[in-house]
Amino acid sequence: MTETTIITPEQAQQWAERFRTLIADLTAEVSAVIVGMEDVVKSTLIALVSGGHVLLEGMPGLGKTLLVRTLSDALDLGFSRIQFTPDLMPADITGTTVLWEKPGGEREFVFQPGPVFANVVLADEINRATPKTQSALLEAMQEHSVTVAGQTRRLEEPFLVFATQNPIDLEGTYPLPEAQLDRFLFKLKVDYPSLDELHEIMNRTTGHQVACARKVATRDELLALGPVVRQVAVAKHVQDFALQIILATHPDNEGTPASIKRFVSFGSSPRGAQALLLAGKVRALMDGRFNVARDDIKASANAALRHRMIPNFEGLAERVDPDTLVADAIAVAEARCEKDVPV
Amino acid sequence: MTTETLANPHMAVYASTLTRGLRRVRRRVRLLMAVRIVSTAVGLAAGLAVPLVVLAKLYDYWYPPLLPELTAAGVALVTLLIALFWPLPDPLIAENTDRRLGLRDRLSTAVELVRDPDPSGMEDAAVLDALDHLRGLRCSLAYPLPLYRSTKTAGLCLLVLLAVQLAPIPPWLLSEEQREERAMLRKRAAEIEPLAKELSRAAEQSENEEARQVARKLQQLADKLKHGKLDTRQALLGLKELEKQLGDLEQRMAAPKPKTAERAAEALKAAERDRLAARADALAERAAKSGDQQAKRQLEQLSEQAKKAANPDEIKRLSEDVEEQAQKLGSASRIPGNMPAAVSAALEAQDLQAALDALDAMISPLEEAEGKLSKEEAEELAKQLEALAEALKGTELEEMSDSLCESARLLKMGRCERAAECLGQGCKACRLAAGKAGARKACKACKGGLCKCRGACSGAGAGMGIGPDNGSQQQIPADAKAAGLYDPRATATDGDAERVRAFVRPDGQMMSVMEKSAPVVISGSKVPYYEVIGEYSKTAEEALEKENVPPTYRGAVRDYFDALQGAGKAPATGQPEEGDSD
Repeated sequence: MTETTIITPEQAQQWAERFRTLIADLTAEVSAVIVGMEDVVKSTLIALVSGGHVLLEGMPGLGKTLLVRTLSDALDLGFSRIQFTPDLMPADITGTTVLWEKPGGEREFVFQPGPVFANVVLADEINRATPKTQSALLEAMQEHSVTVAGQTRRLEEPFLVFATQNPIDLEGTYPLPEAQLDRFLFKLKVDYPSLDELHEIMNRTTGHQVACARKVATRDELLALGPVVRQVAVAKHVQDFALQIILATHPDNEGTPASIKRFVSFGSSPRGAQALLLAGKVRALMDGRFNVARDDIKASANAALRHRMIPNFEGLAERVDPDTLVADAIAVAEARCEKDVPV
Repeated sequence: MTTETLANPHMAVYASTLTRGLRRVRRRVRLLMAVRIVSTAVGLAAGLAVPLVVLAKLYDYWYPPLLPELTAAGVALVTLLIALFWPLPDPLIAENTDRRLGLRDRLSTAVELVRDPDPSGMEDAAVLDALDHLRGLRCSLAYPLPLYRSTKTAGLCLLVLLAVQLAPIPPWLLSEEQREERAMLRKRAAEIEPLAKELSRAAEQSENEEARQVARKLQQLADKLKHGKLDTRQALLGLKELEKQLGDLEQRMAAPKPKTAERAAEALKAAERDRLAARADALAERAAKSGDQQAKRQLEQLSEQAKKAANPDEIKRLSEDVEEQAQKLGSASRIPGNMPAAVSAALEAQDLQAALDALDAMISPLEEAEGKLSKEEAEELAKQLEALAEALKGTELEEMSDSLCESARLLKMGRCERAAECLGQGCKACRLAAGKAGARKACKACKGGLCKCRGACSGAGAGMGIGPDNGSQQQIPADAKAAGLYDPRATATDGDAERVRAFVRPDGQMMSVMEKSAPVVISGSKVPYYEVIGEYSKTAEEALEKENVPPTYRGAVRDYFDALQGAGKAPATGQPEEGDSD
């Protein structure tokens, strides 16, 4: 049975207002715990509302785990953390069937859910596990379900994976396979905090009071935002702009920037375009608009595309920053899409 | 949870509101487009025209004066039409307005959403949001009217074009021929300016608006010529137009003006009076020195009379009296003839032909005076010639002036024969010019000297006596006294019969002679040759006897008169046979 929601313009206004209020409350609660990282927090919230997974890349100790935990606390969501190590097995993530002896002495196989059965899963240092273990998350991330011993089990919505990885200390790590990378809505870079932010962090974490987030919304409220977001209007020329960006990331395409032709072996998949548009819709609502603008697409482009452009050997050797490649792709798309009146 | 959309019945209203709002923006965009495109095109046209105009001016290619400006205006009109009809669809306008005002694609999205036949509530909200923004939109903020680079360039190019057209070409860019031409045009301008001023003054006096306008145009033409703003072709066109206007004006304004010949005669008489008085005074002084008081008194009286003499005959008589006294005192002048008085008389009668005859009459005596004249006498004669030259300036015999001046110069050098030859050549040239001069010459003079005779061409060719006099029209009256001669045989059938005379010959035979009026072709000549041939033959014989005629010409003179006598042999008295005269 499906629930039918009839939205009038006035209701749309109310929904948008509620959305903005919720996001503002969430931001305030997270900001009470997390110092700085405004862009990361905003992008994380966007991913949260969009139902997308996030790959956080940053040095250890910058607050990645705390950010995820704070979000789950503020939304009263189930949280689990998986520390990825080379000896971590897929069953350690998904769960497994164990032989269970009932009080009457009867024995049966009972499924013991793994840590993936939570609303918010923190996959810490995901690149330290073997590809086999990493792949255990593939189905969960895409289908929001887990198949163990031939039985598929649905994961509770919302299901969000927040993975972290360390950009240095790559020895003994296993780069994430492209298929898995593509399943992350955003790849966010967590930068080192500034001096002022460090001061604030010290004040908050070494004092007698430790800040913690309050619950500002329920799981259902969060789930209700999804359909609203998807109704935000996207004009054809805006969608065309997003697709032009995606096409421009492909080195074999005509009109692709020279830098991408040189340093990229594979461009973004259509999931990249989906990520751009979904993120754009959330950004539009956060901005109080009912339409996606090209600026929304541009604002999310780096986070949505930097992990979807697979560098070639030259790109790896030159340590090319994917953000510069994304910027080149945006420039090409703008040139193709913007039609000026001759004034 | 699924969402069901609700169609909004007000979407059509939203669509029309959106279209109206965008129409306002479109008008603004068209304005800016027009400014930009037109200025670009005009700048291009003017920029191309500048070197062409410079080349045309340098190489003297003619083009209509306003052609570059009209071309630029035509280009502006065409590009304006292009700008007005350039397709500017709503999505394009909306997209650009979004971008310029930072509306985050609100308008462009709304333009697309209003075409959706089944919009969702969120889309409705998006359209309403866009309309809110469109309502408060100020077109001037989105599309300010800047001073485009193309506009500045177009303005600059137009200024340069005007400057190139109006400013004269610097002399260092001109060839030698062009510089000469410019100098000639400046000279013409200098000639035109006084005429323009005179005409303007006359127009002010007569309060003639048309004349005032012509004067103004004339002055403008002179200014342009002076500043080298017109080339020869343009100047000629302007002159032709003004000449026509002046001619028309002259016909309307025709007013009697003092006659040049009369003025020349006056000047000549004045000069002769002065000369005669001075001569009489000098002789009186000489008589006083020699103790001849009676001669002195007579000469003083003659001097007084000379100063008051009014007509040429009186001057001539006084001159003869003075010379008679001079002869008595032993200082007779060897200056041949009494040319100034004769010329003065002829001019007074406005008979320039007679004036030329009088000058011709000076040639032989002057030739014979070679070596006979003292230095003082030669200078005296030179003065007479110079006075005569001065008097003839501005008349139709002006060409004679130069010859007279040259003769005077030669006389001062004591070269009487050369002076006579020069005088003869001058007379001959003047006769030729007078014969050929007609309306054509007058008109040519108008063009060459820019209407120096001012309308003389309109009446030129009517006969002798017409000549330029600061633009006045002159004509010898039909009843002027004739002084020329004509050959009755050549004109025997010409003219009307006036009377028949009959007489008896010594041998008893009866003779009748029909006299006719002068032929029309020889205007003003009334005296048949047979009435003067006797006197002239006698003079010639005397001249031959006195050896006044150079030996080489004696035979020719004798043959000439013999031929004349032979032609009129039947009437022994020198009268022609019947039908030979009129």
